[in-house]
Amino acid sequence: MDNQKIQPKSFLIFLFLCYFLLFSSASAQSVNITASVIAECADSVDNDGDGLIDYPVDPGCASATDDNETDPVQAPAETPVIIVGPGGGYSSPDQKPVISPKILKIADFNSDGRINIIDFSILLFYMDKPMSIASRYDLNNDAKIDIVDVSILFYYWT
Amino acid sequence: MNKFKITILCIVTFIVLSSIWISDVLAEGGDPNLYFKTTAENFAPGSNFSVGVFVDSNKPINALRLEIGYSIQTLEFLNFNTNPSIIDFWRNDPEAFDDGIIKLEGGTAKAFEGEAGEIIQINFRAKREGLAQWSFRKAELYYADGEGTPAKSDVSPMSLTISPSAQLTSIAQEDKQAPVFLDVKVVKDPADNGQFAVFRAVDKESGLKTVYMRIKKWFIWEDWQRATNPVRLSAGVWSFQIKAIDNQGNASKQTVYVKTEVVKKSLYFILFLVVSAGAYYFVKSRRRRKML
Repeated sequence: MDNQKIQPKSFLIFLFLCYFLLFSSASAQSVNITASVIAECADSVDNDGDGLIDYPVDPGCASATDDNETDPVQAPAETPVIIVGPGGGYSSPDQKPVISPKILKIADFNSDGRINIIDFSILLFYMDKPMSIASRYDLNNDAKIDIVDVSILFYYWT
Repeated sequence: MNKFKITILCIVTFIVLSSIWISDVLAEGGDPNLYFKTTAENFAPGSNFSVGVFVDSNKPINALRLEIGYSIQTLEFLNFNTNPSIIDFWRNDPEAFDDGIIKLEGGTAKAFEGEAGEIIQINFRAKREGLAQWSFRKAELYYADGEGTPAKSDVSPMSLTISPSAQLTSIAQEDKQAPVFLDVKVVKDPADNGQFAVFRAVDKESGLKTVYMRIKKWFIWEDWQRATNPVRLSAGVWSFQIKAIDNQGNASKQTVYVKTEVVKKSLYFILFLVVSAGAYYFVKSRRRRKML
């Protein structure tokens, strides 16, 4: 057998033909391929091996369409949370309260610029303490710390 | 001999001191643990059953925020029962969302320390055969130390099987007592001249389901609407009613008058009467004059 050298010209023609055949057949047949892929968080399988299956049980699933069940790294508790507006409410969504500097000054006990669960925990701690040390936490100045102060804190929660 | 005694004494002292130290470290250490508890390992489809959410903590805790996920394919949420609970004040009512997420946030003035502190009881119905699971998607606990220090917590999920071979169970919820209001007050907002309606209700049997509120600005009550403590009272409200309903449908109602607005409205009414009487006599006297 003789070793025949492939001419660059004929190789290019060969490539062109391949390309042409491939494209013409694809366009002529127009094949529809429907692939239904079930996301990891809805496939009834424990994909990350933590014993918990799918959304919302597996903490690694942000939603049922999330395709990764791997658990997130636990965020520290004091991580800022989404601002949710008034703590309590009634009826047609009340307008969000304005967090004035005045209310921040009296209810933001740890001075982090927010009124949240940390301030709530601080307020609860001083609830049964004598007013000599707890007066700072008496939000409505009625000489006692009770549900009223808790409610005010809830209303201005950020 | 003396040397031997001293050595023994040193060893004994060392052992005693180190055991005290170790026990102290063990007592100090150990993060709070959150877990679920229920009455059986398996339930038959159609069963109603309760799942308790509990906490163990070596140090006093007084506030928490939890997000729980449960299997919506096999479970149907029924209701909450916050009695008994280590939590006194719930920020927003405990809420179950359609996608299987439950959110709880609250705290207590009586800080909890110890084992098996029940946070809430959640009632479910086993919808269909399969695996039922519960997990803590978020768990934030805060130590009662006056600084709001977050506690690193351990969480334990729970799984059980819903199987036709298991026993069909139901929740005994006989409840004849209506909820009780612990507080219903009108208080001034320290930030401005506004006013809040502050309230708290409990139900000692089946648990509190919902609180509704309606207001009166003039003579007619507005519609009942769901309410969570506190409610900012809009200007002109001189009376409001609070209605608390438990999980068995028992209701209790309380009417509260806003003193400042009652006085204001009374003055308006007296003024209206005086003006009306004046107008009446004015018209009458004019007619008399005309007739004369």
